[in-house]
Amino acid sequence: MKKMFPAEELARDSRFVRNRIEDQIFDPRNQALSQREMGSAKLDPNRPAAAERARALMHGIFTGEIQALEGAGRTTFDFDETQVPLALKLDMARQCWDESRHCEISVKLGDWMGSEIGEFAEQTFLYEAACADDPVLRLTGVNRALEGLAIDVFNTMKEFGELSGDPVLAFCEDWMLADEVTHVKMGSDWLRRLTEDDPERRERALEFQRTVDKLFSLGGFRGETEENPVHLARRFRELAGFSDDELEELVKVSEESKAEAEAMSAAIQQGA
Amino acid sequence: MARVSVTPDPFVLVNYDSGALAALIEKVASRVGLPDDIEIAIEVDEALPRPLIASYVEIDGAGDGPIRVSIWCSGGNFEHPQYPRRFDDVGGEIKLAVDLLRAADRLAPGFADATPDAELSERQREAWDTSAAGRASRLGFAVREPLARYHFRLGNGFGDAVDAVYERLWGADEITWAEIETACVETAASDERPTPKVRPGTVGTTLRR
Amino acid sequence: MPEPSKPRSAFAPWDRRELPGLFDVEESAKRVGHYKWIEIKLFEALGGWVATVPELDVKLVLGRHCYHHAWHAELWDKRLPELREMNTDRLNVAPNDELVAFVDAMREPDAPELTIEKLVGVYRVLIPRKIAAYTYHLNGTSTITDSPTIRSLNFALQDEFQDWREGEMLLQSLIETPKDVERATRRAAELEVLMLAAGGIAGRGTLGDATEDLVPPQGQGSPAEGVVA
Repeated sequence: MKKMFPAEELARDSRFVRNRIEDQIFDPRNQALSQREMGSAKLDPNRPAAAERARALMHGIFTGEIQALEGAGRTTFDFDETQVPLALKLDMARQCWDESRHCEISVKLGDWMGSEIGEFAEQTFLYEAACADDPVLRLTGVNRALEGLAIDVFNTMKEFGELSGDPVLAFCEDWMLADEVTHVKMGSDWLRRLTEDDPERRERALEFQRTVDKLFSLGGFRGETEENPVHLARRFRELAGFSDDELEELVKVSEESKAEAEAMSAAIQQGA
Repeated sequence: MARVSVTPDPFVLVNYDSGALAALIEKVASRVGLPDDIEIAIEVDEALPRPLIASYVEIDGAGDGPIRVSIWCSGGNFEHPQYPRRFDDVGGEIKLAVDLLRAADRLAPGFADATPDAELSERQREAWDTSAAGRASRLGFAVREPLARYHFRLGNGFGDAVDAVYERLWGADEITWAEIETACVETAASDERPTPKVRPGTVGTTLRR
Repeated sequence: MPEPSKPRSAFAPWDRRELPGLFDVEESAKRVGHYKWIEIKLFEALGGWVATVPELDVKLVLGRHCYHHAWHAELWDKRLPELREMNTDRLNVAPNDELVAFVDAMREPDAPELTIEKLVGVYRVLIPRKIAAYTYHLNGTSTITDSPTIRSLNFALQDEFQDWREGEMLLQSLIETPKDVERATRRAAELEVLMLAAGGIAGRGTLGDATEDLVPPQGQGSPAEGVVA
């Protein structure tokens, strides 16, 4: 088996279809939509098409969990004990089990919400964060950026479940959220330990995390305003080792991401 | 055969074919039993993608002139969930079947007092859609029952009493507006959800401009 | 009311554990080091394969089993210092080059259409060997002096049996044609040959020597001759 497995080779059965994030960014409907008053974008049972929004997001969570499982699994294999401590590999193996369980939960939740496996297209940008060849960068990208996004998304879905009175959704998201806090804390702890004597490497890792966080903000998908479908789960991120400064930085990164997406969309429209 | 007009023609933001959509509507209208001399005008807001799915059905000219069914819907109704901007033949057919069955309902005496689509509550709309989806399923459309059930639960509540109402609506071959209203009173009575938090721009916001 | 000061045996009447065992501390540590090595190689392979298998159920099972074997590796890693091996890396080795060759071959399949080959290596060749080695250790070691190892062996064996069953069931559901049967059988045979050369997960003598207690008949050689290379 080869080391460093590329995202385009991730194995899926025939139900899954993959598309690129660029398709979403360059969708000509974005410009038309940006000129309309659409109300709050936050995932809320009171909003129009709430069921479809929730189902689409839940399927995105499902494919994200598959990729998180694959990312953690590759970290157990790609690096030997001369590159990372055995204890880190053991943590990644534990994460494999957790992500595997999250996939199982997501499949059951999909059934509950009337969705089918592969119903919505998959994008692989989450796994791409797990492709760094420096284990510290990979750990930061996966366990702090990707799993951090998972904290925000699960918290949003948990609130949606509570507001809509959906006992199954709220129950499942609560459990998955607990695991994600553990994974992010794992990432925070390992980042500190592995770069204790190497501030330069730590800075590189944090810079990589900023880049991944901006990508994961998806042009305004995540943030702290009514225009963001998913909100930052500050309390849970603090539990997982995020400092106040890092949270403020994340808010800034999300705003930048949104501004860049809007500028890009406007430029495309002008060019059209 | 129903006469169908599609707006826009052509589509510019999505890869839908107006002619193909018109042909599909003709076919579905016939299968759900709408009269042959009916006019159906559909306006698709192609800027609204999945998952923004919404539709409104209205009946005009119920007097001596030809009956005209006006449908407004978001482009997301017909968008393939796996391929952005591509028409979803299977999903689109189901959405049309449900909307056209509700149009057929509106032509029946039992729906003379029905609230206009734009004024339906979430609860009423999900109840009506459930009934139409159940009938569409029995007509052979590939309706996914679990999906209909989730929509109904989200609109009406999660619990055994709500599920019993769902079963009744899904299984009924004939329905009246009064029965839909009764169903909604029942689900409201058993709905123990906390009053949702009201946010600016959420309540009352629709996707239709 | 029982008299609290009445002397009682240190071993309850039903506690039949005995002192003698096959392994001294050094031998036990050596075996535990080999166990740790093979568990690491196994959990790495399972984790790495997750991304390469398209079958969703297999993917999720591999993710779960990956942790089982990582946890076994951790148990053995923690046991080593208790067996006077303070450098836990020193004994974290394969017993011989032949087992390294087996592991390399077992972990080699990469392509998405090779799920049967991947699973056969783990569930039809390696895990049965692990069950055999762990059971031999369990049955042979001193039930009093080596009871911490026994406790870990029991935990590990419980996982091994369950994983073996689950992996075998996955394989049976994936093997649909006579050609698939041939693929699985050929793969198992190729790997068995390599494992045979290694002698088991702890090397030659993994399961002891089945003939060592036999007294050779007068004028004849050892019955082991021609059996053990």
